[in-house]
Amino acid sequence: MRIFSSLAAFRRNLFGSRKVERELAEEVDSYLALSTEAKMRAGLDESAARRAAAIELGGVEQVKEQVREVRFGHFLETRWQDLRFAFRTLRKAPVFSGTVVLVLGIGIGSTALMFALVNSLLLRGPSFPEAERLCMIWQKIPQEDRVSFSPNEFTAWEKQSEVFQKMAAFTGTSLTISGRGEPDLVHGQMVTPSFFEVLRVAPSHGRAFVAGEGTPGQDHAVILSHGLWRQKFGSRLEVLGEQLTMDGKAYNIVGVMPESFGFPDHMTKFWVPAALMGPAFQEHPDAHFLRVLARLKPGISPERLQAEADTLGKRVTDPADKTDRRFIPVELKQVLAGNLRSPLLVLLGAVGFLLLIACANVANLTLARAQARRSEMALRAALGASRRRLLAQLLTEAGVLAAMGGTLGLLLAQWGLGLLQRFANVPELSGAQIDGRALGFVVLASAFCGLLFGLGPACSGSRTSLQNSLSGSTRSTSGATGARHALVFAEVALAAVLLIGCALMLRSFVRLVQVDPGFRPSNVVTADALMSEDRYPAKSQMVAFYRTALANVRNLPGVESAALITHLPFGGNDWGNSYEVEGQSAREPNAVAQIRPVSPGYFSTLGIPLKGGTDFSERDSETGAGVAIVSELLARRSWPNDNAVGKKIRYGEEWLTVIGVCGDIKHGTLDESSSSTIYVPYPQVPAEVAQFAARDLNFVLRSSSPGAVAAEVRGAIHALDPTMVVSVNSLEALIRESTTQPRFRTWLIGIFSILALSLACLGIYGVIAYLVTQRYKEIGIRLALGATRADILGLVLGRTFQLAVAGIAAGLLGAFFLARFLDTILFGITAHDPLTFVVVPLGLVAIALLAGYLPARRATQVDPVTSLRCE
Amino acid sequence: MKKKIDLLQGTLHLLVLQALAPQPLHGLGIAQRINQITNQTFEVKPGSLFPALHRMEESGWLKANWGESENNRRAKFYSLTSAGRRQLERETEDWQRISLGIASALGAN
Repeated sequence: MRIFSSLAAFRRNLFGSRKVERELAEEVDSYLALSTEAKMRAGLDESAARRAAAIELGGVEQVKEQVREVRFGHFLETRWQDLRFAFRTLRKAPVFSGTVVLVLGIGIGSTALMFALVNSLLLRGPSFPEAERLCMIWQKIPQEDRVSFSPNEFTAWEKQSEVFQKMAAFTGTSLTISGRGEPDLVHGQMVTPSFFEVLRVAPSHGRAFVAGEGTPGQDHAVILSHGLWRQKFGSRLEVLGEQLTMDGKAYNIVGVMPESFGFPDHMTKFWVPAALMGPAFQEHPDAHFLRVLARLKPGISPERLQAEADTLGKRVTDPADKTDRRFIPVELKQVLAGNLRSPLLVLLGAVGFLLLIACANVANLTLARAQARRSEMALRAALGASRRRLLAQLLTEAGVLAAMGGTLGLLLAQWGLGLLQRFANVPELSGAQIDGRALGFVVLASAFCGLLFGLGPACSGSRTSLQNSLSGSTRSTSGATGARHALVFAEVALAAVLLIGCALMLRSFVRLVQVDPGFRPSNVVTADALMSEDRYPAKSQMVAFYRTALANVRNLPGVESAALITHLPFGGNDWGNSYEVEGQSAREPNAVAQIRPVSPGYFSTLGIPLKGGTDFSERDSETGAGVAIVSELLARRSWPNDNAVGKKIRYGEEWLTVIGVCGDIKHGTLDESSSSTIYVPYPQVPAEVAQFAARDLNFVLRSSSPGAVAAEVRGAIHALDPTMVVSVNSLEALIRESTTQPRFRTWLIGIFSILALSLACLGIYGVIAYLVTQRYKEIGIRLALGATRADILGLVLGRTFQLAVAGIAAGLLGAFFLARFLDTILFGITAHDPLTFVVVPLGLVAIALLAGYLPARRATQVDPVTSLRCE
Repeated sequence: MKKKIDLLQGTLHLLVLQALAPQPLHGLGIAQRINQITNQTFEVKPGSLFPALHRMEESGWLKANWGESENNRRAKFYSLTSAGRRQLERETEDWQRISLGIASALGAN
């Protein structure tokens, strides 16, 4: 059969190639002999016959090659030959190959790393089944984009919705686990029983919540995160059915989630049922604290969804509420990527530039090498290699280099990702991994690079004219030199864009950390202590603890002043409420203020200036008249032309007299704008509000020896209540944590930019060094004719300068247009910050000249006599 | 001398098969036989003959054996296999259909 004989031929050609070759040679020889004899018989003499036969044959090697080309497996065989030859050639030039692989590895590696991040965080989205149908819903009011729902709104909507298959609500909670080693405060979520059903994720052990567990009294069940299960229970399977004591209440452990599950975030250690009809929720049925998650019915369009959100938004909202509320559904994928989205895309762009620079660099190196190999190529062409064959050979070499570079890049990316996850302290990164798609990306990127830097030199290399090359002239064709200059130009331009981006982000970061938070964070120790509901059920017990604990802490040695606040700046907690100013038309619908219960001495301890009036005192107790201190911003807004002190304001039922005005501060992040704030004495927080808003006590202690105080403060609180979870920190550390993300991206782009700069310098150095060797003779003549060394230096540096300035100018132009993508992540400077756009190019010119200086100096050391003799 | 016609791809296969139908031949013999049976219309150069022979051998239509030529030279003799004979029949039929078609097309006006 045809197929069998083909296979047999294939096997013969690949494995018995020596025999096949011998037979071919013999066959052609015998043809030549027979043909000669035939011609002699026809009357030619022997030499004429041999000549005629040879001409008729048309070249023994060519005929053989034509036969080889039609054989089965010929294609593979030559590829295999090319491959082996490529390895041999590359091994013979270890410096060249090493440099190329390293440069490519860096380029591909950083791109792969960023792609893996973008892929895991933006493209792949959450790993829930049919995640595209999951969304979260917020309310948008004029002051805030993402307002949560109240229990009443959620229950109303859940009943009326037509577009959702299922909805769930959840809210964060922190509970103290006791009876399992050290008491431990852990963060978890209260979720409606439908939560896991909406996500369509089942526990790896045990079961999810059942609907009945959403009713008050039935809600003492808990599902553990994989991490908590390991940490507290040693991953024992028998935990199911055991009880866990949290805040003094016993919860039945019903399930354990898989390790990969961490929703809404990986800080969540447990999930407990939220009984929306129970007292915890019905005490404040109109407070907005529920986050809403929903799964759409199949085939619901975004328009249909928004339409329902709009109509239901109107129906669900209390008609007395005059706030302009709009309900906004957001795809879950977008929610999870959060504010990482634009920085990640910017970084991916940056790293793409880096990859292009790496390619340009490698193309430059291979071009130079192609120049040096021109005679080799010419020789091979003369020996019968077709142009296609030479091209294939050069591309194979490029392919081998690209594959090696890609492998190195993959290793680098893997390593870099590990480093990032360990040190960057950005929790979103924990899910990132190099998966199949990232792997595919690396393969594509490598192939792209290989083609990019392999094709140019391959074309110019295979086009070599025989005579020029064999005559040994080392003068390069002007085309190749032009290409090399163009490459360096591109490299410098790209590096300039990247460096400007980097400088902008660096400057923005410096601006950010230099922001005055409105208080003096240095030397302030913080101690966070949570009063659990079971041990401090009533407000009176909470206030009693507050008093004794504060007194204890104040008496610690080395403490200059100590105070307390419930919601510490940069502590991650927030309490906003609407408020009302006496004498001004009703409750202004959009007026929301931050409410902060504090102890006396809070302002002086933190260094918040009092702009008028007085601080709270011990007399402002639960029995005293209601008082408040307002921030400057609120005072200016509420009484633009009047002194705030003595005026009345309220956020609850009771009117409070303003006794002081303090400076504005940043509450959560350095880049936020100040918000209106009402400070109230801790003991005066209304009892029902204190239940949920005043359990968290944050002691702040100013001391000149913060280390010693930090060591003492836990003991001082534990002396009163040894079960209390106390976490000690410093205010400076908390502020630093709030800048983690900008710090992370500034570091990354910084690293990428330095790599880009180094590669661009390498490119400049290479081209100028080559220029010098090329003009060796010319420089010799100039020197012989009386040019000074300084003239030569100027000549070479002048060329460097030209190259650099052209590139930088193009880069500036590019940066000017691209900078607007940075707009959203810059702080305190515009994307076209003039200083950056002046200083970076100047610096770049200097660095470029430095890169050109080394070869230039070598040019000045040319000896005219030797230079004229060579070539 | 008659004008030489460049061989179409595929035609060469048919001619080689036809040339080998009566007896095995070596390369030069095949070229000469083709020249003879086509009344000197086709002259096959080694540059196209050898690749075709090897290709056809790999396809299983021909088999090759080393033997002695008429004047005692070692040469590679090609002969038809049974698959080659079937191929010859098939290609002959095809060719006749084509040439009939073309002839009738040319005679149409």
